Amino acid sequence: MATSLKSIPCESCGAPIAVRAKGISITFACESCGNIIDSTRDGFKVLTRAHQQMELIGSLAIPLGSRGVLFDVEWEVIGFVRRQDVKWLFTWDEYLLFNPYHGFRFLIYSDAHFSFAELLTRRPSGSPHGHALGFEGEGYTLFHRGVSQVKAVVGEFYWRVRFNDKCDFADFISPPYGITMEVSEATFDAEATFSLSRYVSREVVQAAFGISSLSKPFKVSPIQPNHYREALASGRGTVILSCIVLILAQFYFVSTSERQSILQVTRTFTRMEAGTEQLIAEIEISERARNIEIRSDSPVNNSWVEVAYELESEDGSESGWATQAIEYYYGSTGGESWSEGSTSEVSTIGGLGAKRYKVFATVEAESFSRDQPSTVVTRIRLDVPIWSNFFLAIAALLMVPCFVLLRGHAFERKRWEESDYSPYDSA
Amino acid sequence: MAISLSCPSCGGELNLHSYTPYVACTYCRHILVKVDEGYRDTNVVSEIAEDMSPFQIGSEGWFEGIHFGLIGRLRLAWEHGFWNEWYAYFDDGRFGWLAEAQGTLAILFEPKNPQVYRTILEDLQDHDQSFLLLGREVEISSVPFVVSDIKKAESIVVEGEMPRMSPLGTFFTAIDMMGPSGEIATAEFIPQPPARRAFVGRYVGFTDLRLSNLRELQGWPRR
Repeated sequence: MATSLKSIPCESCGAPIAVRAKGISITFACESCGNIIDSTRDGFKVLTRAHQQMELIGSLAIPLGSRGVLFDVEWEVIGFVRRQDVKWLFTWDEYLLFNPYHGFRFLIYSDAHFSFAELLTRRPSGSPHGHALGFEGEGYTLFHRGVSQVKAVVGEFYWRVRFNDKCDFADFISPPYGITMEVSEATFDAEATFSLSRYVSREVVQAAFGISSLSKPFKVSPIQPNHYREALASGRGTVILSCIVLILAQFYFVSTSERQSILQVTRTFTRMEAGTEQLIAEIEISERARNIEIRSDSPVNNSWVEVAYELESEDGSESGWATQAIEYYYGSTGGESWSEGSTSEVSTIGGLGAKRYKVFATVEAESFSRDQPSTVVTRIRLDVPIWSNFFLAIAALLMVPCFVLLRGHAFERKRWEESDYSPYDSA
Repeated sequence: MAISLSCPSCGGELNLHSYTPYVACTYCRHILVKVDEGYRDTNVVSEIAEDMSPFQIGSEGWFEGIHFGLIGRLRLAWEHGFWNEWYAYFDDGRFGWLAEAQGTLAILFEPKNPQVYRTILEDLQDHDQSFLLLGREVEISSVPFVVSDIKKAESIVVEGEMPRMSPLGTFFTAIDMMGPSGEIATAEFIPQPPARRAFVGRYVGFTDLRLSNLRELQGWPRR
């Protein structure tokens, strides 16, 4: 059993092997020669004269013995295991973290992404051989299932680590969390273990352990948080609230619109009047109007009329104008009849004060060229509900969320590219 | 309650919580057994436990609103490691155990209800074929537990007060069961002299126990 030593000499190369979790660690892997030494009650026993890739071990991203604070607890790095998926051959590193009060955690480094994992003391619901697990009210979806193998090991461990040890594992995800199920193929005396991992950004790990120059991740990690979806979730309330405010305002506007009809006049314009301003009516606005709707009808027949209206107050202080092109064409081509345009046109002009106004119209018409007159029916209503501004505002409001939604979707597709169980794969 | 006692082996002054059946002397490590007139030396000497445990006899904490104190420790070994079981008194008069394995903590009590006791032990009595038991569901007080771990273990170190003792170095079978929401149950089958015991409790977090009077660990000041 463990002695009071803070290090043990490696029986193979003589280098001191640090003992950081005294009385708990049972396997030690020498940092200088890579040999694995078992601690037993009778002493230490060299197990494998392993030919590890020492150059790999010499360049750990976080050196053994480093300390750093993660999630409010100081952790010491005491062990390192590199694992490889035996089928797909991708590798990842697991750093064993120790704090004598809080026990052990794992810092997993995979594709330049970090996650912080803890063994669970309760079983997730659902079958670990299925496609989904439940834990603390969250659903976790199967991302990868495979067999891992220990490819490199250094430091100390509270379990027996063996070079080339195999382990069945399955990763279930609910970003930024993941649950990993593991069953060691070496032992038959333990059930599946489950660990809960949580995504940690590279910056947080670098700051915690005082390291730098870790390479930047280039892939999306299985449990990397989707910031687009997070932004969408956090902004959802604001967008919904704004939509409600807009709808209520529009509802108020529509319900209080009086749609007061104040003019209907029919006027026939002759060629002589073409392009010159004609007074067609005088109107009285008795209360300030929020808007004025002008509708023109003209019986155009494969022809066009253009009307420019101007409303001018008698005292000359207020005015409004609108230009309308009325055109209607129809016919048949190759036995198919068609039509284009319409015989009426509507415009809305902004608010005008309670005054008396003169209504002028300047007309150009195709019929003038044939020396034919053109008839225009002009109707004016006050305070009509306007929908276009409302729809524009809604569209503007939803534009950014729609963009973020698309980016978020693209991010999810990228995440699942590495998985055999992608919901985006059409089988 | 506090009892003062002179070690019959070395004469050292011992302060006990109660007249617990077994006591390991703090000074000479001799294990003493309670007899009618006091304590008698068994002439069995315990090893010294050396590990990074933050606990010690005298550490105190809180569990489900009840204050407790640690009065004894058993250190156990199995083929692939070690763990500690701390014997604790609770202010409501109960005695229980704080199990400490690789930083994972649980508080356990022997069930008062004999039915619970029987369920666990009868369900698991074919423990010698341990691979058959792994993953088996055991219902305890209508909570479904799953057998998660089976090991052959032995006590290697005793400190302080112990309610009972198997001879050091005697192997027994320890079976752990895990519940759906942090429950834990364990069963122990001791071959010589034959005995069976069951415990039920909960996994607990280190900070949840609001511990005090912990051991000072070199290089690890508590913030």
